Amino acid sequence: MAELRGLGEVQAELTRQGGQLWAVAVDPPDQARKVAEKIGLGFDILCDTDRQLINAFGLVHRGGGLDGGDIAVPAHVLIDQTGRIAWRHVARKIQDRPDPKDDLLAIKELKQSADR
Amino acid sequence: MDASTLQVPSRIKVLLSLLLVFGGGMVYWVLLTVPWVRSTGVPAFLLMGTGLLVGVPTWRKDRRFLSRLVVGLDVALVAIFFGYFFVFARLPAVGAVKLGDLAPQFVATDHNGRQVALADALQKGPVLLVFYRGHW
Repeated sequence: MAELRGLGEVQAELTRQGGQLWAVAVDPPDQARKVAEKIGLGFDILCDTDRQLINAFGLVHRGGGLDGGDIAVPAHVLIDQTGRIAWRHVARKIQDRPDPKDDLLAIKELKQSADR
Repeated sequence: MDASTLQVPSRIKVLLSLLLVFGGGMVYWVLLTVPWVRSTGVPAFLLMGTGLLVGVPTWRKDRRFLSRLVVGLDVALVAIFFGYFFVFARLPAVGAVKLGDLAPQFVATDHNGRQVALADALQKGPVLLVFYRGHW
């Protein structure tokens, strides 16, 4: 969850393009709210309690949760306005995270290809 | 006075090596929020490597109990860290969505209890989904 802190600039760039950053976790809303308050997020957390999203995006780590439940494989997925996956980063190890600079680059590239 | 007494005593060296190895592990936890540190572990491996470079040669020259104990601890800590980093932390391969695929459409509830739809958001701009592992 700490990695969400580093995404301020990424969110700013998305906002400039009319876009949206959504964090996704299997936490229920009250827990997600605590996270959002604790780290002062400027974006929303989607509460995937029924694992609908992580299933649909193929990002289920079966039994990966502390309680043995299914949770997400850490991943960033950028969706362009045509609804296609424009960029993604899927962790191979628990600690893998993309550098926010790579997120920014991918988002800026979207803008450039849209302007062309 | 012979030359050996002018050198740094081996017990200082082995304790320094333990400090470096232990510090390497600590640095990793403290810098978890820095993405490249978290992903690569480079600062931790550098410190731990230096610790072993100081500790192991000292132990080879001085096999007293303290050296054996501390250098043994060094090696154990490094092994635990490697085990965590490369074995325990491995994630199963998943069939994640691929570049160019159509993203699955969804409606979800946000942390304020509002219903949001991907289709609505895409009307206004691109969407970045950040899947994380929850509050822990």
